[in-house]
Amino acid sequence: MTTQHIHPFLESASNILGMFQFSPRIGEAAEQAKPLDGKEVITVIGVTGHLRGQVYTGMSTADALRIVSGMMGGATVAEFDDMALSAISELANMICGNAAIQLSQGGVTLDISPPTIITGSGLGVAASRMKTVSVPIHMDGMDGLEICMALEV
Amino acid sequence: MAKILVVDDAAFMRMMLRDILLNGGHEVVAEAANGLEAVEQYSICKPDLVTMDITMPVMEGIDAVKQIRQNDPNAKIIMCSAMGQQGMVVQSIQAGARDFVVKPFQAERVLEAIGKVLA
Repeated sequence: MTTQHIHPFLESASNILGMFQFSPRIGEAAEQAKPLDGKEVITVIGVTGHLRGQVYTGMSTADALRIVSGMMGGATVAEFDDMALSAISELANMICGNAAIQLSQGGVTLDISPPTIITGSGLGVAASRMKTVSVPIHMDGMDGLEICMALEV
Repeated sequence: MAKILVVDDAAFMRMMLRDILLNGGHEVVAEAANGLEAVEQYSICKPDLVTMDITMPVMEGIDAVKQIRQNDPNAKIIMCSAMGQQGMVVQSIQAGARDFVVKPFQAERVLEAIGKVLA
């Protein structure tokens, strides 16, 4: 997993959040002991092909509601219900799908699984057998999104 | 106005597509959450057009396109997927899809693709 593999996921997340009227800024990549520490909503997408592993996104419930609202053109979203869960899963699908488009232009072809979503309090990920890289996506007035990539070539 | 079958595993995307299609003057005759349901619903509803996701459980979208086109060689299908790399687009078109709209999409892009396919 190199910068060349990581960057398309970050750029894709940033572009997509931008389309939903947010102003995302990509933060510094870090190898964290406990990625996605303290998150309340985590999406998981399996990746196969030239890269293998998982791509996670993590956020707070409050941010998830704001993002869903943005995805619905600004409609008020008060409750993290099944429709909101579906929207956040779709966000993860769009981020990985659009990253796969960018990667394919450099000859790296991927397939992705349908997303799984985990909710709770004080979540975290331990991918002990895989090197993980976590990158925060900052958004004004919000905790922001964390993208964690556990991928091997 | 066309009768449309919307296929996507995400309830959220089905809702967004339904809104776009209704505002565009179309009718959503059925929805399906995977490729197998799509094949079944297609033979029941005989829609004028299908919007088809790719990454879905049970049966993915390109396989569903092949099956639907086998049952009805004139079926009009537009792919609506985040997996828009060239290989996927080529496979979809070879399977019989008429167009490919990459998610996240704008309403105008979806309606324009439908208009062209129905013309």
